[in-house]
Amino acid sequence: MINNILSPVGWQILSVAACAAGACGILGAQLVLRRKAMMGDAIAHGVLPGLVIGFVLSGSRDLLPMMVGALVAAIVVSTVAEWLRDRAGVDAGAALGVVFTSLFALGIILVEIFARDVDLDPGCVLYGMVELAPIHQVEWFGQSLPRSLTPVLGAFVINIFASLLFWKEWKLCAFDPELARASRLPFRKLEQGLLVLVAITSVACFEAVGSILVIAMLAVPATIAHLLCNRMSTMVIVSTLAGILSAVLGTIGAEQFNTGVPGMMATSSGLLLMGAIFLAPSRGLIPAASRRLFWALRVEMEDILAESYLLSEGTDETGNIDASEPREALPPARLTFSSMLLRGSAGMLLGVRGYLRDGVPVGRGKRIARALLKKRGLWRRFAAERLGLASDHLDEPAHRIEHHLDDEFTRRIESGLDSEES
Amino acid sequence: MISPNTLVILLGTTALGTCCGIIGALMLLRRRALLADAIAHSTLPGICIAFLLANSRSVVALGTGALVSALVAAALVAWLPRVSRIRKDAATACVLGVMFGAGIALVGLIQRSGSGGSAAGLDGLLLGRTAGMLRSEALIFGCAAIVMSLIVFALRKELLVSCFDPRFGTSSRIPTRSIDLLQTSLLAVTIVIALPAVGVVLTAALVVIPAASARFWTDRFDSLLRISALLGAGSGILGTLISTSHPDLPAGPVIVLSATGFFAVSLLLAPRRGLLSRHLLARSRSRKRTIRHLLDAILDAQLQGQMQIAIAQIPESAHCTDLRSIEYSVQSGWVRREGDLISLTETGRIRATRARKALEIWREWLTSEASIDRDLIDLDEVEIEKILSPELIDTLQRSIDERERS
Repeated sequence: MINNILSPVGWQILSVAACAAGACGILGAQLVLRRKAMMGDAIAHGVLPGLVIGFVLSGSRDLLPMMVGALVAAIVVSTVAEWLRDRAGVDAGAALGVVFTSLFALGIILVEIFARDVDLDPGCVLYGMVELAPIHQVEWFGQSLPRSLTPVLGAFVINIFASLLFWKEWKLCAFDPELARASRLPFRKLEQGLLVLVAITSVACFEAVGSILVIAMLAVPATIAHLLCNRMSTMVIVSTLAGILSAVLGTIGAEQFNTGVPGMMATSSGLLLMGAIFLAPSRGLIPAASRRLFWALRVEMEDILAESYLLSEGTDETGNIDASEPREALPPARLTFSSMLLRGSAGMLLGVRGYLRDGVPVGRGKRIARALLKKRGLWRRFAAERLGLASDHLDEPAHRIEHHLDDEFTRRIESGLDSEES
Repeated sequence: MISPNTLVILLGTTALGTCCGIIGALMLLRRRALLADAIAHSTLPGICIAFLLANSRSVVALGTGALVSALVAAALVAWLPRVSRIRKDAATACVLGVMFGAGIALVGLIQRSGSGGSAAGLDGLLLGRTAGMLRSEALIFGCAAIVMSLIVFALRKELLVSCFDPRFGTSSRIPTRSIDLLQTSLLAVTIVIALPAVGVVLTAALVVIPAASARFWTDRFDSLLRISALLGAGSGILGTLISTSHPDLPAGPVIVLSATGFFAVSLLLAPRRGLLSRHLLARSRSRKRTIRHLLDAILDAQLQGQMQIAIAQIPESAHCTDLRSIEYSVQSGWVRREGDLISLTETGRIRATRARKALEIWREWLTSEASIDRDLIDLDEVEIEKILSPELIDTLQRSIDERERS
């Protein structure tokens, strides 16, 4: 359908898709922060009767009456669901489910009754017609632009302005609704306004990209951003960018696989989400797992060095640890496959780096072992003198904590102990 | 009368409603009502892949595909919040959006890659076609309903525990995780079976709405399941009957709207939780409060030596110069009325004295024993003389006395 993404036609499709995705991405961040991610789904389904009634009353496929109808329906969804939750004690998810599925059913019946002979089939609302965007053109500032760009671009701009305007208020509402209520902010109006914006955005995007895309783009880019960011400002920006990136990838994918743009956009946003789950720098599964692995390797290497140092020297010259002194038996480490593998690879790494030769730590290895033993001794003293632990409770925590003491902390313990003695 | 064809549809939708009602009640209790929506949407890619692989529209192939992808979706929704900071709602929405989108992309792929002619029906799954229900389908629904009822009946204790106190379940050797898996699989199977008949969104509706309606009627697990199943079956029957008498109405949405109708009725009329009974309860509370104030005010007057008091003399601050409650107290035999003058009858005096004594003791006990600030106690809200039995009042009195002595 799209022959070349770089052709003018390809650009126009891409611009419509990207604007829609960006508009949804901005608001999606707000929804995800409020744990209302399913609101997108609910509104996308629940506006159907509003669309149909707007269409029937106006008798045309003009955007405005349908938009008004959809807005009313969206407000009905959110208000009734909230009312059911707060006043009638229905579970929040169930309340939303009852309202939007009922409205959707009503919408389908209305379509069957009123709109059977005209082309307002539910499929059109679902899939959208982004590929047909270049067919209807409008003149804008002397440029010929696709007609469906107008609503999505409008929604994008409105959302940007609204976000900037209500930035502080929305932030408060998202993170501390109790404070927002208590500080005389028009809390309900702000939240309703957000949902109205969601409704406007969904309706603007329906014609261009279809409701599936609205559902996916309200939820997925924001979730990606939620994985990557810790601040609302970066989250909103990343969410918007992730939406636009899915639009680009989706358009290219649709061209490659010869299928529809909205579906491919949702799919590529899903792939991006998977990427974020596995690779996000601080929270991704793979970085977190590798950090744990490196830490375990370091601990294992330090332990081996310290043990072999004690064995080879017989005693520690710092005088803190005496190998000949009968020590309490540490609980034997469980010999599992992974622990053996870890020990083996730690030993091999030490050999390769030249820290350990014939079971004797040399050079840097020796220094590491000494530093570790010093820390162990320090902690034992600290625990005995300051924390008042019994002498048979000193070794095990010292063994564990010695790996976590950095230089600064060691110095502080040292000076603390010294000042006590003096 | 009902034609054989209608009878088949009627039986099918009834069985379907029962299935959805039972599983929906379980999902509602676990606060996973919207999982049904996500799973229903997520069946689409599985169906498409199965179609591409098997290159046929056989029910078995497509059903298997749908089931696999439904289970994948359920697993993802459970897995994402465990391994990352994604919350449950975002996980549900993401899985729904992405998998449904992928399904739509696959539908597009199939339609445009030539083999499209036979794929035209795939997107019919979105809305379903109840009116074309086959005898075999109705039979499957019936079997599914029976099997599911048996499973749930056999495991009701385990399900109960895993819904309300999974930790207790784990500690008493109930395999809560397997039970969890079983519930999700039952949901997936129900949805997959129901898809061709009522379509994606409406399946979710049939799972969510009857359960939410049933919750108004009961607080007990067993009866919740039973009522939810009944309401599901009822919506199936009502919807089918309406849609057969109005042939231009599609059956699926009508069934859902019947379920919504039952929901509205439950919302209004259910005892205790329904809006009407809540309203009545609030009114009777406020009436009782007013009457207590009234009796108290007359008792005050009596203690000051006036045996009768004019209505106009009752202080405004007592909030009880409401003629209807005076009327009511006269009818109940607590107050005697002679023209503008009212006085307490013997029963009324006993009632007022008792209420006043209970109130005083309770207030005294709260401030002295429970050390709650006197100003923070809103004693108007409680009918304290009903909560405190005479024995309890004695006990409280004793404890206050002891405290004062020491």
